[in-house]
Amino acid sequence: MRPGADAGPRTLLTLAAAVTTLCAFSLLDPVFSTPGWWTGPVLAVCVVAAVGAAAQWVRVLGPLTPLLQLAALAPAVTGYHAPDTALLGVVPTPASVGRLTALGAAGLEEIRVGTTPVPASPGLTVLVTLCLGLLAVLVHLVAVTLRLAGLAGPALLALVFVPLTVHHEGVAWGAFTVTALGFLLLLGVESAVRTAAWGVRVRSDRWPPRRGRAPAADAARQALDVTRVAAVAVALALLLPLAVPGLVSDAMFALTSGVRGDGRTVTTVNPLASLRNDLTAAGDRQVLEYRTTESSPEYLRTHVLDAFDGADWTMSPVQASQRHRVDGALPEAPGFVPGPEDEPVTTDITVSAAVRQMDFLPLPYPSSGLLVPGEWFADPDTLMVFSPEEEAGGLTYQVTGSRPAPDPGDLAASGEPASVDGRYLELPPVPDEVAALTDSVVADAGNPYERAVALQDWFTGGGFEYDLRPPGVPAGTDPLSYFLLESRTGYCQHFSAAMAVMARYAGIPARVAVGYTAGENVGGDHWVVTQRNGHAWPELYFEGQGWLRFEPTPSASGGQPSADVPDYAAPAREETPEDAGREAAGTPGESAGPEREPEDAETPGPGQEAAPADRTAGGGAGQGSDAPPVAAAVAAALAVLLALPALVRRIVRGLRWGRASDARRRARAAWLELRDDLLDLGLGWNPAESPRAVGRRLEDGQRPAEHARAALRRVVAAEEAARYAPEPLPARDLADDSRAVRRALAAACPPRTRALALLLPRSLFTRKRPRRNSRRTV
Amino acid sequence: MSLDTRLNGHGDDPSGRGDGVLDAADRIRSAIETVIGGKSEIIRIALTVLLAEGHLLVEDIPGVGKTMLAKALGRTIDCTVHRVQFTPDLLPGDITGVSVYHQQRREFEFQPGPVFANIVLGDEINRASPKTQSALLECMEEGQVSVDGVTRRLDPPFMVVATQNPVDMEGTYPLPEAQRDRFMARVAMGYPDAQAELDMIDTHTARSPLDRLTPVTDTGHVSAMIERVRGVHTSPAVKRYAVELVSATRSSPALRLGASPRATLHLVRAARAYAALDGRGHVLPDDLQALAVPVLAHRLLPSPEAQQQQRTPEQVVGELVARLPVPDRG
Repeated sequence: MRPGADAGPRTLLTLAAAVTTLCAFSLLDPVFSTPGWWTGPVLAVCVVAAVGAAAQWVRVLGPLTPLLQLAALAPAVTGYHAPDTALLGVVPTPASVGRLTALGAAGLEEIRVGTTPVPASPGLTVLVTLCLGLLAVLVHLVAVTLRLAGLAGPALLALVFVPLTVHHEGVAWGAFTVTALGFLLLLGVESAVRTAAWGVRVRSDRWPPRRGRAPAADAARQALDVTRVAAVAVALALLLPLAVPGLVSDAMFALTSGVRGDGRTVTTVNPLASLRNDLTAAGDRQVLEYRTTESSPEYLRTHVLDAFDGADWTMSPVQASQRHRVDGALPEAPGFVPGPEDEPVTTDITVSAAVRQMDFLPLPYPSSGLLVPGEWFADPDTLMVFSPEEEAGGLTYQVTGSRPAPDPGDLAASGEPASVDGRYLELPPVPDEVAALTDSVVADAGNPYERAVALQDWFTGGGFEYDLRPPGVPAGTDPLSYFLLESRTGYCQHFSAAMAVMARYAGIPARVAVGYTAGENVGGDHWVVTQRNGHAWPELYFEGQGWLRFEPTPSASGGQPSADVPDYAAPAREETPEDAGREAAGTPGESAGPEREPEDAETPGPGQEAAPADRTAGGGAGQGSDAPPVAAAVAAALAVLLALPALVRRIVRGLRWGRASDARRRARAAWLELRDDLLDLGLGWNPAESPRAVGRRLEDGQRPAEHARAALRRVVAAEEAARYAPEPLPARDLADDSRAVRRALAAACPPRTRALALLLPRSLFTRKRPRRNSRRTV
Repeated sequence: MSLDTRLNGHGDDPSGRGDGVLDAADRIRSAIETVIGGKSEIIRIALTVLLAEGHLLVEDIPGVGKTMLAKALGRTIDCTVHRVQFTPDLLPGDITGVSVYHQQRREFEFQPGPVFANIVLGDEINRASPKTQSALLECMEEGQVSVDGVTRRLDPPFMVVATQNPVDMEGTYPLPEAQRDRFMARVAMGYPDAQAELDMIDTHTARSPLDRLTPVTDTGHVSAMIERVRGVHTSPAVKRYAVELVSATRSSPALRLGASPRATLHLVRAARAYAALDGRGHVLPDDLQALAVPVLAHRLLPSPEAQQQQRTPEQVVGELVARLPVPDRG
């Protein structure tokens, strides 16, 4: 039971493998919306590394290391995730296994229905801990036990696919860099250990080193090797995005914004990105609740995007000036004059304490009064209320205001807008097809109001499909025309942005508002707004009425369920039953999509984790098609992982033949292929066997068909001549022979062996060269 | 241990049989096979030794055809063949020849001994005294005879085929290691198989089949063949393999005495001849593997541990061959 001779270097490798695996964790971080998911996986990796390191010191345990590591993972996972059901806190019991299974099932369900980023629920954490623990075992096996550190790269790369496929922002370059550096560290350590294994370095004070052979030169050459790998990796990292569509940003109408408060620049979360995150969140967490005197409450607006640059709607920087500090009253809504009979509405809003990074208050528009603690500022033009320092999470505030209830007749008579800032009509050149489309849609409309209604009806008329995961925009295509003419698939962000652009083109001042719908009535005057109520809509300006909300996004079950079309915007369809239902959505106990009702009622309260098992498939009813990606991504990652050995084997084969330029090398390639095929098929390889002996063994043992036998003889003869004869045999097409031999050999094997040879080619994991000890080069 | 030639169908061999030089080897082989059935591999090794300019030691119990093999080899080639029956009272001069005083010419005249021949059969060599044995062995090594201060060269080709009874038979002087080392190869005849023994009853009872043997080639052809064998290509990889194989016998814990550098030379030379007999212009590791036991085993002494485990040097060499990786590329 003495330690293995190379236990020291192997321990170093073990450490490097663990660090590399830990570095790769950064890739998964964007997938989770809450921190702390990584503690379990880190523990798992540490356990795996510790067991691996310990096994190095007991020689006989070496080959059993993976099994030991797997065995050690069980108590680690149990102890971390289900300690109360385990014996002594760590020893798995039937109860703890049941508990973990239930958690895992819940996690799987979350993966199935959820979209990123997801909160790190216990179920998901169990799954992630298990998967990353297994990854650590795999990396250890490949890098330390098999000493093929390079192959650990593809395994780690599989992790890249997770954010790439499930997260709309793709892979963060920082995470990718950290992972790559971790991998380089592993390669570096591996290379150093390998060099050291050749013998003790000659010390320069004992032995005058020959030129270029000094230890320093060795180290430098080693560093050069690592650098070379790094250079290739960087080149790939730069070139790959050009070839892989998933790495190119396809964020349509992405938004960049900055809030400047008295010289202080505050970076705010991209409203559209956070909107999307809200809409695609796995758990439907509550954002705020409110009580209002309004029977059909207005949407709650946080941001206004007022500039369109041809691709994106963006928010002009807002000034936090003391002049517009909120102290009870808000600036007057531009263009809106409350009528004398209008009754002011009072709304008391409480934002959930769990809400983070909300520095713009959700408010109904228009409002005239706002009672809010802390330092908040209003933008006089848009009535956005924001703070460079405060956050809305946990805040309670009261807002009052009158609601415009314009008569369609008045609106139609309002005439061309004149009293509004001209920037609300500014538009970069619109693609011709969009212009033509807009013209045709508003052709029959005489005044701005009719044009606006025509546009809205065109969107909601059934030609569009609501989908939180719209198809990616092909490179080189204008996203706006693609949405309007090609895909006709998107969600509120696309509908509102497109309608706002078209409205501007049709001469109506327009902007995009981002915020929440009225949410859901939970009894009396009490309303609850959740993440799924996140919304974007266009606001259009009408002379004498100010900014009015329109609703181009499909509502009910085929769209944003809680969206509703304002009365003034739906004059023609006031009497339809559907509209009646939509109107009723504002009344207590009713919502637009009846089938969603029970599910919505179960929405968990603030501070409470969404219990995954409670969520049914109905949770994705509104976004049915966007639920599978996480599952699909995991499946894809698994498939990639599964196909990886076969792929590597194929690449090895391709490289071999690719490099074989002359007869000797072709013979060599065919021979190495034969060797690897034999290893893959479990037919054995003995380096003491001469080519001829191998051929004889295969002919007698596998009994290949005549043509394969001839091919085998050619391969053997070519290799024999290349090795031992003064001249190699004239070049033949040995690649065909090699293929024929491989097929014949595989055909003689049972199907299980064939499958194993394909999926897990043993040649990749076998040391082919015998270790030559006591060989000295002079 | 037959080395099949299935894999040599490509016919682009520089020293192939196309020119008929090596046809003679085939003829010799088939001629001997008419006399000794079922021993083709031993005949092949005997031929190998002839073409590699070595000497052959045939060892086995009496009556299995040792002498028959040696005689048959001599008869098939049109050359001088002398036979020496070694006995305990044989003197060195009986082998090398003596100077006799010539009465008329009043001078000493050298009477060549039986060693002056192309093929010398030393029958039961271990029955002679060590002094006599060493006289023969000197001729074998040097290819010359020194008597009374005069050195006389022996005509090539020169080959000694010695037969030997196993040392535990009565009245024998075992050959010392140093002398065994001079034989290129040692073969054991072994009993013939049942069919060969049956055939033998028919062919041998009436009259000796040796009488029917006529020479199928001559010394000129044999010398040409030897010349051809010298030209067989030995790649650096194969040479390295030979060295590794021999040095493995030196480091093996199962052996008290390993093979000498002379063994390395013998092994490579024999492999060249073996390859040529196979119709190849280059040596393969397979040749070395096939020859490892005949060429190396008789030079080795097993360690006491190996003796205790009843492991013979033949077994040890076989294990080394099975374990040593064949050379990859030069």
